[in-house]
Amino acid sequence: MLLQIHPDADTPIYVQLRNQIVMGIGRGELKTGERLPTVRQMAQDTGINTMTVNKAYGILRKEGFIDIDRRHGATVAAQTENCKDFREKLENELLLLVAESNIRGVRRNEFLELCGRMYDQMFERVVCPPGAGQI
Amino acid sequence: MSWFLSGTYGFVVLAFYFSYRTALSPRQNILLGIRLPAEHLNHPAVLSLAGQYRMAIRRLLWLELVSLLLFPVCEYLLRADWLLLFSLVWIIVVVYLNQALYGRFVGKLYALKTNMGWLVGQTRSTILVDTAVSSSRNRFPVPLWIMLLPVLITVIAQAAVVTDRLPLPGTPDDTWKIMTGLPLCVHAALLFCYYGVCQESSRVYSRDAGQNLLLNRIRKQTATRGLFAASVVNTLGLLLPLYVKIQYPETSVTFLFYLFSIISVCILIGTFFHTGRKQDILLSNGQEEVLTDEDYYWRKGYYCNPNDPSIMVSKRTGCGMELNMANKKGIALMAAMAVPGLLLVLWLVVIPVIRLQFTDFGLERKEDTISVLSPSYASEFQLNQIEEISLINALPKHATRTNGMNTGTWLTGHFFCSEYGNGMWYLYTRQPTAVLIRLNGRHVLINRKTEEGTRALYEQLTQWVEDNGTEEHKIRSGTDSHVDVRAALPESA
Repeated sequence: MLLQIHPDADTPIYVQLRNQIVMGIGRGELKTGERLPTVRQMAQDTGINTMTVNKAYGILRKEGFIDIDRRHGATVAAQTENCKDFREKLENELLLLVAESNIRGVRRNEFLELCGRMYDQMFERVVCPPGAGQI
Repeated sequence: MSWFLSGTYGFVVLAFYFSYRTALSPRQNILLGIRLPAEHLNHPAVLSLAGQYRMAIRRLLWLELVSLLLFPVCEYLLRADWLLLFSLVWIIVVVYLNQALYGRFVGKLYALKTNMGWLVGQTRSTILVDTAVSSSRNRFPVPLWIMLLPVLITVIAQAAVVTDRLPLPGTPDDTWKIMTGLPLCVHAALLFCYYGVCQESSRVYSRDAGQNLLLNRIRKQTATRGLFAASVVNTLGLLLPLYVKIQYPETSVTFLFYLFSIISVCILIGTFFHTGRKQDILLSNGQEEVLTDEDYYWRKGYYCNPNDPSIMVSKRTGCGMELNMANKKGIALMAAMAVPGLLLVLWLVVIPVIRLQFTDFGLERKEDTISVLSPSYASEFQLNQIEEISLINALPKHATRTNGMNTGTWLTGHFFCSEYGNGMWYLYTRQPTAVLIRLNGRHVLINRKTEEGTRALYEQLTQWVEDNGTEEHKIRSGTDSHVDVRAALPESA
């Protein structure tokens, strides 16, 4: 999977790293049990501080996206479906987004259509380009 | 001497020319160190700049070739001694001019590219990582312990030579100690390159992880295998001459040292050339997508990327690797290797050569100790060690410099000649008269810039010997006059 980090962006690097890996897992580019670079390898290849990578990995582990083993490094964790905590988080964030959309003039149908398109786009990438992100 | 240097440096100049000329052959759409969109490679402005660069390096080549004539002029007008200093300055100027010219044109092409908006891929600040490549990066290079095996063998052989545990025939032992140190220096350089290759960041060539894996594996695996092969050859270059010398004492093995050093360098050049070629073939067969535009970091003609932790990166022009000038660790490591070498050259060669021009050899007595006054390789001996003092009218024609300096006009340090054996020489070669002082199993050969000065030195020394209680010794005057101290000494002495 290809990670793209933009150091000049407003989003902190560890958040970008966390989001990219989550997107990769979500899109199926990173399979369960697949090895991720160790903190050191990732830091060497990106030039990002090891503490920053460590922070991102720590968050991912806490959220259950990855497992960290002292011997084997980081691997993609088996994902549990319908996690209660996540549903709560999703509802809270969606609530905020719906409110903001309403303020900005994005109506219900438009909002739902956008959500549907984004959801489809996420999984189209896995099917369409041959070998994209696959090893 | 000067013609030999001119010829040798002629090859250096040609090597520079052909190396910098490769910048004109687009590789992976990189022309003059700058990556251009394929459709703009034949843009009139680009072709014009390439033409100007071709003319400029050609002019520089002729200028450098003509400058080689300065070597005989320098030898004729000054002395052979200054050739060494002149060579050092000449090399620095040639390296600077070539790099400055290349950097100027790279800068011009980069300015053209940015003005025309020919950005390739994303902006330079985007960091791309292929997780599959990154998680396998440590598996590509040859393991460190394998790389250290030849180094260990060399260290053991070196230790055996230094501690005189090997039955090396012949007398110039110092030569062996110095020459066996050379492979260790080469090993240090090879290990530095190995470290640089291992540390180099994984590259993302395309969105295809398989291609990224393959290309990164080729780059690191082939490069470290080449370094290992060079390391093995370097070790053989020490062991084989040692074996030959022990088995066939009369055989000269100096050329073997140089032969193996040349083979090592050839292996390295061949490895990097082969790696680059293999990558080019793979990239031309596959679909290379340039995902980030890194030309900003190459715009000065060298790589300078503070965001890249790599110490060394693959060169864009020519083959091999070059330093990331923004990496302080790499610069510090390089300096740690180069600065001691430069200081050694300055301290052992440049400064003594300059000092020799303005001084003359002499002897100084402090009680029973005689000190030889010389800017380099100064030594001491005891008056009671002297067995014979002679004034010779012709310097030995054939001698081996075991650990000393030969500037052309001056010979200082440890020398060996079949006539006198091992000894310390302090000679001004334009003056054939010299004082030969035979000591216990060795000798000191010394003269001054004038014959009168040398004779005065001889008389002074005989006076000291006489003062030391050997007044009855015979002093034969005239050609090859000598004082046979031992013959005249009392039995107890």
